[in-house]
Amino acid sequence: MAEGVAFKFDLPALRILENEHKYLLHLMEQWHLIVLGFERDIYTLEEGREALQTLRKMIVDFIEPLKNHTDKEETFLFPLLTKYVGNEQGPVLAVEEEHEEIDAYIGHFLHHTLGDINHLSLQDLKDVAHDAGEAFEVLTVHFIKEESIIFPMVNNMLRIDEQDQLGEQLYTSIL
Amino acid sequence: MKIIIADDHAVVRSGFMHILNFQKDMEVVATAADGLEAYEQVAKHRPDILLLDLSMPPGQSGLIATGKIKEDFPETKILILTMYDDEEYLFHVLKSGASGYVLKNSPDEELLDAIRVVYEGGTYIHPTMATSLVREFVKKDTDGVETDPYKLLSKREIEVLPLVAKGYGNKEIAEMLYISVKTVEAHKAKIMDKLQLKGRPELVEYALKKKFLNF
Repeated sequence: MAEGVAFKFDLPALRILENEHKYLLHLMEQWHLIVLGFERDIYTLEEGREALQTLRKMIVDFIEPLKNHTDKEETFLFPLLTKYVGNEQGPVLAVEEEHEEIDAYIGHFLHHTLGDINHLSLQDLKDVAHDAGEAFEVLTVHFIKEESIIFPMVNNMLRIDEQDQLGEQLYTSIL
Repeated sequence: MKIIIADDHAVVRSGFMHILNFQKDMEVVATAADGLEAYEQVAKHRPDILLLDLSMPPGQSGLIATGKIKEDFPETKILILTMYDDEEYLFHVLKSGASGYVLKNSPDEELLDAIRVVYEGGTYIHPTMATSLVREFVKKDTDGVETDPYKLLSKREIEVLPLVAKGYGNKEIAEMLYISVKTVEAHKAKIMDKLQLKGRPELVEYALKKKFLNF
């Protein structure tokens, strides 16, 4: 059961972000089980409506820590890196755009599950849950991309004083 | 400080792992889902602190794991994390060598304080339970009849009892505890005799009453 416990990064700033990724991934895995349930057609119409309500609640709970995490990256991490690699193109721009893509999928899901869902058919429920599934896919790849491309840039490109300053700026709880 | 979290709920492991790793002086080096796994991870990582849930069905409970881990790895300090503010649990885990007892619904800061107190060599008891602990120390044995299973039964019998009550067969228990089937049978007979129980239903009732079973 020790899987996923070890950290890849030693730098305090990166440890904070990696720790946040681990926590967010755990939350994602919880609500993704419901998405998989829809994909595998395990729900009746009644069960599906109940499952979608649960999924909505889990995603609403997920938004706050996610936003706190991405806000920190956008406020402190990305501007620091764009000093070196620019913000017209390249990896920083790509991951920033992914933040927007994630927001869009989650926003779309929340919009379609707002209010009474009792008029939705089972296919409608599956279509709506699909948005949450897309958010999960993008988030998963996004975290991998950040940890394999963006975080190493912090190690390799930033000066020690910048790394220290970043560590101080990121040291706030996302909960 | 190096910490291991043992809890059967993934959400608890993940939540606490995030909170502890956020602390500059703490690092979660492993997690475990039951007492046996906790033992293995402690053997592998030799942590400073083991945060151990008491009730981890269907695996080995924290109550049993505490004694074994303290015996083999005395340098690891055990902080019990539980849902129950029950004085029987408190006394037994402290007797088994745990350094503290924190309720799962405690605020994060209290958990962090407890870990630091225990790491420094102190003992942490949840404030609401301190009174019970003092009462236990000063109370006199009035009727002279011993009913505490922890005084009546041996360590091995304490391990066998909940497994029998949970319905495991002799062979399964033998495999879990690395002992022979005959030894299991002998322990069962001694348990029944010492507790003056007539059959498994009575044993289950006793185990429930004495909180050896958590469902």
